Amino acid sequence: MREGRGTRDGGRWPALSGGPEARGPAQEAPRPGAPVWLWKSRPGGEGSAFADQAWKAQDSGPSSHPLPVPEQGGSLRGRGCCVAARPFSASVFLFQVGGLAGPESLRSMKLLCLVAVVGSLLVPPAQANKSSEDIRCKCICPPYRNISGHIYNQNVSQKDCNCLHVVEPMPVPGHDVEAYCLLCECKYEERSTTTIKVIIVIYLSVVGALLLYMAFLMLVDPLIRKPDAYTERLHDEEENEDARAVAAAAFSGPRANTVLERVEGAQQRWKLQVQEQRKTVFDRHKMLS
Amino acid sequence: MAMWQGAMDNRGFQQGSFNSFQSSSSDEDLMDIPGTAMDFSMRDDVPPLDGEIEEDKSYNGGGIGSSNRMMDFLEEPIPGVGTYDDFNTIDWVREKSRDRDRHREITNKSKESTWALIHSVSDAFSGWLLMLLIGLLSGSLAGLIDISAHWMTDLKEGICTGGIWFNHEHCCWNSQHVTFEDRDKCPEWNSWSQLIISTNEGAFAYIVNYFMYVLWALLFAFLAVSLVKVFAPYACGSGIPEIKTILSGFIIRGYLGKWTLIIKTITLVLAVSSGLSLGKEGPLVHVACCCGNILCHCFNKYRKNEAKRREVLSAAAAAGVSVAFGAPIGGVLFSLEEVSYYFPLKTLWRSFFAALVAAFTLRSINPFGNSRLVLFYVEFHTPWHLFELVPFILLGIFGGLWGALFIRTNIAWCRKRKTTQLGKYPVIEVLVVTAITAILAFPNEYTRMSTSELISELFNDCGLLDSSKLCDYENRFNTSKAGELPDRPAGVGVYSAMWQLALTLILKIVITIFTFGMKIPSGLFIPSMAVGAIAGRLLGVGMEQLAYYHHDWAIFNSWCSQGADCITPGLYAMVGAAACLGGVTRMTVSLVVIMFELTGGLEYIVPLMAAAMTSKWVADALGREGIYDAHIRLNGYPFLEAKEEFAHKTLAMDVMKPRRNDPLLTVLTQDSMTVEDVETIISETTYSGFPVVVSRESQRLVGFVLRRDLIISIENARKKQDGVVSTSVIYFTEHSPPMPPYTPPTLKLRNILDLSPFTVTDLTPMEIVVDIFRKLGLRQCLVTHNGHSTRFRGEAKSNETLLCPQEAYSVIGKLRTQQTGQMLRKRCAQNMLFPGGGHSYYWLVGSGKVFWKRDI
Repeated sequence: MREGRGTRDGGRWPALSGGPEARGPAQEAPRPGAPVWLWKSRPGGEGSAFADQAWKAQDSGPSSHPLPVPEQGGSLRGRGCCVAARPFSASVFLFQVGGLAGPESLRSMKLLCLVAVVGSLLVPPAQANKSSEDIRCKCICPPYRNISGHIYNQNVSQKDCNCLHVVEPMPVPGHDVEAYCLLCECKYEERSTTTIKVIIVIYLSVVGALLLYMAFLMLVDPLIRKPDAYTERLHDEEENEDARAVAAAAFSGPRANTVLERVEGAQQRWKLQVQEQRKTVFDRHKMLS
Repeated sequence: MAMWQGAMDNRGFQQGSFNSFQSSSSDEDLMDIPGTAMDFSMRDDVPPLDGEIEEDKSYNGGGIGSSNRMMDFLEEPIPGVGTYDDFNTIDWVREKSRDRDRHREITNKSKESTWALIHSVSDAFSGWLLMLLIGLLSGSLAGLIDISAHWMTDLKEGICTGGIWFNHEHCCWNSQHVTFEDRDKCPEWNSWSQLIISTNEGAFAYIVNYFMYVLWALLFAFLAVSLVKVFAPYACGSGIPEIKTILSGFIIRGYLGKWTLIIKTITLVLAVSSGLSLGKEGPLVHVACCCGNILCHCFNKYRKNEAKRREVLSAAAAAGVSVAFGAPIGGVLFSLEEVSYYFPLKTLWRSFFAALVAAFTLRSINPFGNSRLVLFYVEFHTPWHLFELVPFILLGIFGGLWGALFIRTNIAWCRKRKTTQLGKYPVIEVLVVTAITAILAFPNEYTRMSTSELISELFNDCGLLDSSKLCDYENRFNTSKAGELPDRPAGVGVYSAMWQLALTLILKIVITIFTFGMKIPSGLFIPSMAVGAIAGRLLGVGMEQLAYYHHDWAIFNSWCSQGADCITPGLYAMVGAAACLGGVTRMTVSLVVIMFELTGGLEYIVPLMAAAMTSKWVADALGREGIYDAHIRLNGYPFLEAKEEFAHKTLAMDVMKPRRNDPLLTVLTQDSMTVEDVETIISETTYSGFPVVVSRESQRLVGFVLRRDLIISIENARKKQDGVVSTSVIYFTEHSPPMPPYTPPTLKLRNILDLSPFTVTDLTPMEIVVDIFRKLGLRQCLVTHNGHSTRFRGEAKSNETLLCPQEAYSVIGKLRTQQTGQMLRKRCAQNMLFPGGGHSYYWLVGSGKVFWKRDI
């Protein structure tokens, strides 16, 4: 039973739990705090096979730990960030323009930018090589005898993520290491700083762009645009159902040819549409209330 | 939209209907369309009324002689025909048959050439490709939302000097200075008081932190609500009621559009970070559906067919839940149980695939840094005892009570918002609620932390290494081993945590009622789960202590001896969360699946099922509909609840109109009316379609033609076909009628005529009619008399014929908002009917939806 329990957890330090009957003697153990019960049978016992292996691993020399090489990793990461960031900002930009620009040519572009977004969001995790910043093995060791609790953090690979490799310097003398290590809980974790960085930057730039555009629409736009006939009418007849139709008619005139005019037209139509939505939601409370 | 209004308002009609699609046709340039406008919004289609002919198609004035070219022209569908207006309902039958035709054509052609074969293969494949793209996009967006929301939530408390883009956890991720006692602190993370007054101790520092917390919360909330207001009003709310309605066939243009997507994604992060009592799960479903709708534009098969598009949206909803909870299978079931209206097996597989891809994408982004999909992963596997079902059922009852209470009060508050002055100040409302939430939340650490963190802490089972207050038990036995711990007496920390949790519970219950429905993106899964988790944890700790101190009681001594680990408070929290979520949404299967996928606790299916079922019973007993249905009804969306029973015994004859004393049924004749006649009919009535009969005398039914198609076709013909003038005769027959010489050219409109409209006899029981509407998704149904001859009854006895669906809607839309009685009476005179002569009930049969309303 003990063996089964012990090996089930694989990656972690051999599991610490015993059955209820195993726990009984532990409570009566003369040395409180020492997990003797698991180790009593060590000489010749099968219960510690796993631990034996771990010991061997440590014996083979701590100097041979495959520590990651920070220099190379760092430079690669930097490049990854660059590559990832560009398509991102480009596609966001397209998105912005997409809302306004003339439609004909933009449909394929729309598709393109969607693909670009998807692609670039997927790129960072793929490119994020395991630099020193991005992996950790964290061991939490509770207080043991007169040693206070401690948290250890090391950049080691997943297979080395156990108490023996991570807890350095070992606070207890050799014969107590096993007992101490049994109490520690080690967890291997990965993250991608590149992804985080890229996502935050993108998010902030989109918010920034939207705020700028909002400011433009609210402050600058009314100043540079002299009030047209139709907008006045629009304001007069806020509640009038015809307003939209009239305004739409005003725009369905001869189609503009230059890109700028087309953008302008599309923007106006978009504004009308949003205005309509706003009326539905905020004024008439027909939807979403 | 305009159609809706047009129909409601005769005065507005003149511009209303013609311009309604004029404006929608000019919409199309708008990149934003998305909504659900189809051909209309697409670039390659010629907008019917925009007055510009892009390519000179070969058509002809419609003279009798040139039948060959004539046919060519008629084969080309006129752009716009077969599309729908905003706020209208689609005809599932028509859409499905159109898709079948299209498919048949492609299959037939595929034998002819290799190219056509490739085309057919790619067409068959496009559905799966679309699912792949939806999964990728929604997974990526969910990752973006998760990471930025975490970061911004922590921004309220401080900032990372080691890299501004790190949240608190990642800031201290690699720090070597984290101590065992203070695990959350590291020198790289600076709270605002540290930055501003360079100390973290004392009352002043507390005040500075408090102030900054409230300030940031207000700023985030303000940004969210103003972005919603300026750019995309449709982005507010949870979105699930509207998506349900859209999936049942309604069209809300722009609701699933690009701007809605962008704004919803951005503001969702802001809303979640502002610390309001709301979650991101519901809005993520909306976001995924937006992705689905936008990506539909890339594929012909889905762009042009509303029914097919709705299948895609069902799958997208599954992908949304899949990424929201990290529960792919739960997502598929959620889509099936809660959202979808039409869900064939093929859609099930597609949803499965989309959910898989989305979950995979999210996992590869790894937003939580724990290499898992979810935040709430539980690691305990302690068994539960049969007796514990009693507290689980108690939790179920609590969940049901909470659900019923929440729905009632929230709907009452939303109705108030809808009808009173309160609704005029959305920004102020959001700011006030945020301020109250933030001010009350900061002093209590369980309200200060984000709700999902709170839930994850409540689900957690205490180990020896946990440092939180909830795990502050007295360790009376020797502390030698971790792993399974026996029940222990609670320490001081646990008691104070209990108090704080109780306060948190009250705050959450009250504030969530006012938060859900504000004009920012807000879901209610997380707040509901939090309420349940708190209640569950409180009960769990209580049980645990009871068992510890009274293990000799009869109920405990058989299975819970001293020193055994028999009660797991974390499990109670899970069960409570499921119960409360179930009480609010009335989900059962999908809820349980979501919960065990969310927590990884496969052992606990039975407790979860027991709680979910109890909570559904209790909540159903107190109020019959879930929160989404209640919101659908509050807003008056045309949604035909498939579960609702039909209690009244009436015949189709009693329901149809015109009534006995009404004017005649408006019909078109197949070959004798002129363009002018038809236009007069169009402008004088508001019906959404007209039956076509052989002649006024015989009244034999030929087919049905939709108003919108008719308008577009006539307009198109006047623009493009030579010689079509007001006196031209319109004919719906195969061959043009014999005409005297020197008459203007005729106009053939057979291609827009629906030759196989659904008909029932006037003696069909209403139950069957309702079922036909419901199951087939019909838009209208014609009632005939003397069925075998499909003959309308003669004019003199005009007590029959057409259930006019669209009008019914319009009235309901209007009625709910204003001048109830007058409007109804006016409209009823034309369209409505009151079965049985009494005025207590009336039927509105519309678009596959039957409204059944009492005493309006």
